[in-house]
Amino acid sequence: MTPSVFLAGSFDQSIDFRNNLLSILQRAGMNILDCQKSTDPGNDFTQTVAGAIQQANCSIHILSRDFGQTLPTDPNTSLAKYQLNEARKKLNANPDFKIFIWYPTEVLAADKEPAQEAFINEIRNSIAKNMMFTNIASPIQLVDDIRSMLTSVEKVKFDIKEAEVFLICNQLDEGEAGNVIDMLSDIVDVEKLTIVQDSDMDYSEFCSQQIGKSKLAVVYFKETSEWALPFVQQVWKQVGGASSHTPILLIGDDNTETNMNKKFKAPKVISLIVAGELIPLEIKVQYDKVLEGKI
Amino acid sequence: MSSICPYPGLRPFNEDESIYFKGREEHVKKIISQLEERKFLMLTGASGDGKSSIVYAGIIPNARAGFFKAKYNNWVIADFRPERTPLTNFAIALTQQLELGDAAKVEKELGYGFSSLVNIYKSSSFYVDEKNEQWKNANDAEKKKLKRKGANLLILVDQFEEFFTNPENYSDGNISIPSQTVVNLLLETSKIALAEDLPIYIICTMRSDYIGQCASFRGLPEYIGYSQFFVPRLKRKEIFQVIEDPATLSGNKIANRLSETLINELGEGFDQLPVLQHALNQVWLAADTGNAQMDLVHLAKLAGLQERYLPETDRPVFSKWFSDIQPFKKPFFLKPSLENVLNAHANTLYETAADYYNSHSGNKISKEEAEFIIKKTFQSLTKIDASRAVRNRMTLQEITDIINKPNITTDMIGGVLNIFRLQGNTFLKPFVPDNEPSHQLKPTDVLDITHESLIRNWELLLQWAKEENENWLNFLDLNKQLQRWLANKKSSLYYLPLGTLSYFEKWYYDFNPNKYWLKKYDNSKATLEEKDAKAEKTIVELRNFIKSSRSAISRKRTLLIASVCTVVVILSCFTIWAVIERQKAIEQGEIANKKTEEAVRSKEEAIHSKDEALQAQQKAQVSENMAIAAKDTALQAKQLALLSKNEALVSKEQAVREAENAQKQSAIAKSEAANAEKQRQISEQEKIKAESAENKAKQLTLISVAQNISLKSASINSDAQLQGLLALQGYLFTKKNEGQVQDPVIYEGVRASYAALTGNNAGVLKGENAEVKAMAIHSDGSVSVAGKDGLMNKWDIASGKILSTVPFKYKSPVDFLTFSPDGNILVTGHENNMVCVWSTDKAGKMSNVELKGHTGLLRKAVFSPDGNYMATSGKDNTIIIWDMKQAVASNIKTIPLSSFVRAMSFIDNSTLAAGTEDGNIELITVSTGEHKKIYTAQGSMALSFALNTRKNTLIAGFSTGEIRLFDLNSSAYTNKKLSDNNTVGIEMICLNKKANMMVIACADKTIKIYDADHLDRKPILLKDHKTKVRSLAISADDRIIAGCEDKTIRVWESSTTKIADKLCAVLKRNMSSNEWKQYVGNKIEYEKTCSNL
Repeated sequence: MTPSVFLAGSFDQSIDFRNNLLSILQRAGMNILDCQKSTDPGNDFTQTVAGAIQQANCSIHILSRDFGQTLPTDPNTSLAKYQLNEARKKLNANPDFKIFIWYPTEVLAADKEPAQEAFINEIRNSIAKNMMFTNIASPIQLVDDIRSMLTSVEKVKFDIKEAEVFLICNQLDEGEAGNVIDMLSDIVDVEKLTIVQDSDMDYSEFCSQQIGKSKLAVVYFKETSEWALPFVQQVWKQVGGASSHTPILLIGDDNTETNMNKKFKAPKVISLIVAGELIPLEIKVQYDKVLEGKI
Repeated sequence: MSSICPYPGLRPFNEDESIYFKGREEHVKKIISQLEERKFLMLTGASGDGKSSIVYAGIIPNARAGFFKAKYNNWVIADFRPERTPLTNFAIALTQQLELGDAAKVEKELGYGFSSLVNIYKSSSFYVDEKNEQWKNANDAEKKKLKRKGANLLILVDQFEEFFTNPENYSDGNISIPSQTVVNLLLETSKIALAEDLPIYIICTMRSDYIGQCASFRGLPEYIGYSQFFVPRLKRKEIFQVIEDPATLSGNKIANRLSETLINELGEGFDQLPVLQHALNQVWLAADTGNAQMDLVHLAKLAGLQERYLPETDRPVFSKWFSDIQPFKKPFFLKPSLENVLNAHANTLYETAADYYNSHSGNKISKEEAEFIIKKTFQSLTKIDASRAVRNRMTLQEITDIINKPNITTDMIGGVLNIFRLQGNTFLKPFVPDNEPSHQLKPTDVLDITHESLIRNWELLLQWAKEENENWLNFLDLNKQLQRWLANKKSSLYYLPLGTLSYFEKWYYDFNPNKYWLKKYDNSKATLEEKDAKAEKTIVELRNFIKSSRSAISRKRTLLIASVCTVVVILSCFTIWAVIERQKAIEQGEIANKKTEEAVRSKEEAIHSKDEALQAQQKAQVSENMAIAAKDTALQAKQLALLSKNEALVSKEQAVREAENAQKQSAIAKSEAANAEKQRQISEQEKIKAESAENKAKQLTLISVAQNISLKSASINSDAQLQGLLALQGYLFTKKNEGQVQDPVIYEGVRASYAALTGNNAGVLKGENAEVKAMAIHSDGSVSVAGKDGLMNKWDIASGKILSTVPFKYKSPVDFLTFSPDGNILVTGHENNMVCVWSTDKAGKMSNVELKGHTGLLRKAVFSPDGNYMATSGKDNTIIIWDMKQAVASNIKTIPLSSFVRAMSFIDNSTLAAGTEDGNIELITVSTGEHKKIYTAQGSMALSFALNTRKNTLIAGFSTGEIRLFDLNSSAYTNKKLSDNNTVGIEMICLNKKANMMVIACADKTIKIYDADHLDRKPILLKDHKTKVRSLAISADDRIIAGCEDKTIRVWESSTTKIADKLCAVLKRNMSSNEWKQYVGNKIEYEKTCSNL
């Protein structure tokens, strides 16, 4: 989908930057919501800006040397500041909205009005998530950056079911894992995934999506510790590590001697090596803890 | 929250840290996909773009995690670096990973190339042969068991470029046999693995600079063409992930404003990622090991951000923190930047290494010794390759040998270097392991600088590397002389002459090169023993050569002294002899005088006898015989007297001759004495000259100090007072020592500090509504300016106020504007090819007269010095001369030219110079229109002219940046090129009234101020305005006035002295003695910069 971009209006010497950027954005295939024509800083202007921002996926603001023209109703708010404030409001309401603030190197190097200097410092120190503040020299590179920030890689969508426990094992431990699931599935709802080494499936993405829909993810191993530890590390990274909502239980069978030191210590990860027969029970204990909010 | 730092710093990510390796997910996926399909991959990229991290923290962990489609669950990773023994290293890696036991046997087998590696894998316990009977007869459980034992083999050749950088592998375009063997094995194994579907994968990482050299290996270019991946540069979004995701994953927090600042501060080119990772690692440590949110203030505390960019709430916190830090750290904060974080960190370790050693080793070392060890170590670990400082691995023992001091042991060096190996300071490999903080280096441990970005960003190390290179060049130079001497059988003709000898002797004994140092540079294929012997021989020969040269010079000197002494002795003897001879002559003269007196007395006696005889003749005629006898007696007496007289005369003549000889000797002695006096006078003059030279040297030193402190002043942003004091002191030193006060550095120091102190950077006059295109200075100092907006403003420059505004509106847009010399007439050129002449009427309003004549767009107008003529040029390739003496100007000549005019100026009231677009410069006689070509530029054209009336020179500025001076006194109009390095067009040139200052405005927006009497001197550069200059003038008091594209008028004081004179009035203090010591130095006695303070 072509992104709709609100390109903030310029009413001072930054108009040249804006015109140049507008042409580049258009050639980069973006849909521009232009409020430049609305030069009346009264109601017409504020209404046009508010309307355009509501339709946009993102906004672009060019910082200028001068504080510039102010709103008739508020001499402390320049038209540029007003447009940025409106974009911030949209970002607060819609976290997917993005704000790009361009501070051209020519402006960076120039003497600025004190009010504008203060405005720029205020922006610099209040950058929030999904706000980009850049002094990149080339407007083409700026647009390239904007485009890549707006583009997300299309990921395969798997048919994911919500689950209480999502248990993952390697094909070489499939039999033992089957026993664990047999014992566990009477108590909790278990979704199982067997990793087959030469399969074409994108396990990384599948696990990421399924873990997001599960209350507890379990990586079980008995003879495949060489696989399990790196696997859980990569999956943990994929789902967001400490910021993930679903804890991961890495659980190994202590009947295999080499399993004893196969642990992964990280936020949102429980790493245990227990007797094979106790594994289903341990998974249940950990699952209960999740339900109780103790993990 | 994790207390493990999610940012590795300068070193690459390792496998354990793969959980924090972000930003390259898509690239890793592509690489894995390529490897799955082709079994071979050459991973190339620029230095510092994370090739090793991609492999160790991306590909390998993903493979182990099952995200790499392969036959088996397990992976055997045989990774090695070629270093100097690629085949041996390969064999060792395979032996260890495939559990083969004897590396020597494996190396021998690998030495046969081709399928050797595949055979070794197949014979290992990690290969499962699915064609043999055991597999065929096995049930599912047994097959599973067999498969659990099986492992895919990944061969990783890291830093493939070492095949080319080590002389043992590659020398003079020839590849060593072990290198060829390894590459043969890699390529053949890939082919067999593809053909037989074996789970063997090969990946090589290499710096892209070396890709061309791969053609030296047979078959390799084809394989690279078949499967290569060039590591892409990270996009902003990916860099953002590199910064933010590790923090999120580990439960740490990082402020968005810090992320954005880091991305913005990240430079282009090399070292982006290492510098960023290092800064993040340090920020994490500064943020209480991630317990606090990582923010701008932490970056500022690492000398990575200026205080003024901090939020207001953080500034007092930072100021307090800064005032409490150790004084030695404060200079690190002079130029805060992301790269400076690395520089400041390394400097801190350098300064504190001795303390760290003393508190951890139980031994004592002085700060100077520790610094010496660090310097020598890092010099050993770097070398210059193709003008670039690069890493050079060495063992601790090799470094100890190079240092070569009896009291400095490997333990001591290892101990001092430990601080550079600690986790958090990972500048030197091998690192101190987390679980073994007391780890000590062994003599055989190979040390290596973690990343070349350290060399490029640690200023001290860069300086050491240059010094090391200088030593190497000195050695090469001396060695060349040595080889000539040896080639000529140690002939005395090939000894070093005195000056060269003194230089090399000083270098040799100061630097004291030894064989270990020399071996570092031996790139031959010789064995270590041979290299050792060769280096030792060279050192001995060098020493002998210097000693022999010195002895030869000493002998010559001795001989010279002996010769001089001999001459002096001979002269002395001669003088003594002369004195004695003179004495003798005097004595003989006296004897001769006595004899003369005796002879006179005898003569008198003889006369008396004659008288008596005559008396007797008269008295005794009778006794004639008696008388005759008496007469005979008298005659005899007379004869005797004559004889005596003759003898006396001879004696007298001899005495006279001897006296003459004595006089001659005396004259010679006097002449010698005069010569001696002359020599003494010459010597006295030489002494005076030497004293004068010494004074001059002192002056030059002080001028150099002045330059230095002026430069330092420019880098001090946090203390305007100190900045001003340094700049002013620089000026005072320069002035006192007869230096150039108009030197660009001194000027800039004074100008910038005055601006910082007063907040008034070049007087910027605002008020114009359009670009100022023309400017005229009136006799009262006011300036009239005219812009495209059709307004002419008269400015009082001193007060910065507009005195009057007069509109000059016309129906067509303006192309150019020009004032007459007296500023009373304004000429405008318009898009309708019309020239308008504007003058002010009595009511103060402007009216115009239209001048028609041009048929193309108008470009320029200029006035003759007396204002009587005006020349206009247009795109119709003509110049029209207008008579301006009348109330209504009239066209007196239309002059066609070969192309249109870009530069034009009257050189006197009757001659016009014109520069055309085809590169010609022509002189045009106004009255006749005749024109004469005086110069043709190749590939450029004159853009601007100015006339130096004092020297009668036409100065022309060209589109290529050239400036040429045409001598108008010479009939041939000879010209010379000004040797400056301008590379952009010279758009305007102005001279002041005295014609001793020339100012140019360039196409790159800069203004340069030249000393018109010394155009070879470096000009003052004005560039802060960063906007194009549209008009330029110099006021009567030499202030530079520029009308700028940004609608401002800018005014610069051009005289350093005038600015410096105002500095003490805005300074509030003098330098403290510590500041003086720090910036000026101990050797110069403290003085008050401002005597009134």
